[in-house]
Amino acid sequence: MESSVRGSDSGDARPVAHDEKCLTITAMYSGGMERLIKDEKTEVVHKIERKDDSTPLMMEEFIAYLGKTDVAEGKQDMFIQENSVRPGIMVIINMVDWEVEGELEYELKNNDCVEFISTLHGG
Amino acid sequence: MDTSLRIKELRARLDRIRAEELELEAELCALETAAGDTPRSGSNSDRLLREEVRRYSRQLLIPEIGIKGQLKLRNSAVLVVGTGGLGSPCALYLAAMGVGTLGLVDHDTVDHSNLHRQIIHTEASCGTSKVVSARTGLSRLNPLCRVRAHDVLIDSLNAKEILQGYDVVVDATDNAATRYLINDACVMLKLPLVSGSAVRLDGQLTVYNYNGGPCYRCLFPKPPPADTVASCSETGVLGVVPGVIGSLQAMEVVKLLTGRKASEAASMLLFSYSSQPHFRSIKLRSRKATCAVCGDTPTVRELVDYAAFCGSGPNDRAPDWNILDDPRQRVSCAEYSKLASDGGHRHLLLDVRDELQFDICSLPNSLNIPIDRFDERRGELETAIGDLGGAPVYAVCRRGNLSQLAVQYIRNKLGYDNSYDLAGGLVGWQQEVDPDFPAY
Repeated sequence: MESSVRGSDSGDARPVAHDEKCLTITAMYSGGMERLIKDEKTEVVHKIERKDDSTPLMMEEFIAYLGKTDVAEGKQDMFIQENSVRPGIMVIINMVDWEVEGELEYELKNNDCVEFISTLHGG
Repeated sequence: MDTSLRIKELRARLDRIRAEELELEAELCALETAAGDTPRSGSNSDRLLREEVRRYSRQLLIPEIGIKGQLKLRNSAVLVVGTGGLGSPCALYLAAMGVGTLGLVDHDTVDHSNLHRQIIHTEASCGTSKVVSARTGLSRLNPLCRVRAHDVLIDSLNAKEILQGYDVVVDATDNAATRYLINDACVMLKLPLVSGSAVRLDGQLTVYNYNGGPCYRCLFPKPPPADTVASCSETGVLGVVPGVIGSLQAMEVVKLLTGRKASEAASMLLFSYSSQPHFRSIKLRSRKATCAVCGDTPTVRELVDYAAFCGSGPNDRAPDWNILDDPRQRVSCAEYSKLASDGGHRHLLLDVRDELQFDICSLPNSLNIPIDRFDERRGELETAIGDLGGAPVYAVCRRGNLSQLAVQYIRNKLGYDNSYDLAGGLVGWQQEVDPDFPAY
């Protein structure tokens, strides 16, 4: 697995690279979530190799993977709890609430964009 | 008369008039509250008065509103919970646009640190009850709007009684516990909830419990751990951000009251100062059949203890921690002031706040090493302590919380026991020692 990292100041061109056995997934962090991420990045593009076409990448595995690749040292507990995201983090898959898409059972597709947003309580 | 003298006199008179206005409004508010009206006792008719036609004419010209829509606004009652950064613009717009009855709930008083965003309040109203201050702003703006002030902390015991009779509820509060409380009460009373939130540079807006859409609990069945919740007083907020969200909350209320909202699918609007575009809309799930409060077989049938549920109560202010068990490890600001004013008292004053806060204000001769960077800057810390020749270290922060953790670190990890926490921090310094110190 490899990942390329971009900051919030980078261009917004979505990766279009397509490979039969490689998924390009963009992970985005906002609403304060970025403070849990290495170098406070707001956007990280991941190129994830799969063994073969028939091995699906499910959301649960992807979250665990992000916990290792994107989340800053010592902050994993504030991102992952009980194999899912910790309460208070919204997950948005291609601009849709992840519950609509099956939550942890969602199968990621090439060029998906997954956003992690902290819920805000202030006012 | 001398011009400058006259200017001074006019300014002083305005100050007096502004203070008097608040006093009169407070008395009026108390009398009206005692009169025991309900949200529904406002005028309810199918015609607009001539002064209403004149005032709302620009709105009447829009086909989406027209006379029909305007009458709906006029004959409606909206409750705004919280008259802070979100509630200020929301209430101002609702009153200005012609909502007939507006309820306001808040238990707090106006503070100077509110004014950059809570634009319904004024310099003159600092120290006054927020609902009285807000009411003053609204009655100046539109005397046709009937304002009902609830100067209480909304809780499990009074929430349903307060919400009863309103058509729409606006959540403009600042904490998780009250958000769950208002959500559950709205579900129980079948009221739509217009929920907004804002911290730092980001805002969020959703209409809950309406037309088959989700409630707040459908989206967030479990409250976030208390220590992950950011508040405006701790992490800051750009004034206009809650202004944007609060104004949009007023717009959503109009859509609910005129019926327009019924044709829209459930969504959450995300706003950020730093994103391009600034706004994005996320499609939300429908009502969740398994939701604890609005689901098919609800387990939450009465309002519960929300402070216990969330692990933190309805208070935006940071709690005072007691991490250091031994009171001898803590030094009061007054004591430190005495020690430091004696020039011969060799010591190190270590300010453990982040650089941004250190730049706002600091005590003279303090060394700034943020507690988050202790591990990274350990060498620097050890050198500074090594140079002391055994003299004491005093750790200071904003309120005396992080400084206790710093003392723990210095004692346990660096093995330097001659270290103390400045109890009360810089806020305490301002209160106990130097009222002119610009604590925040």
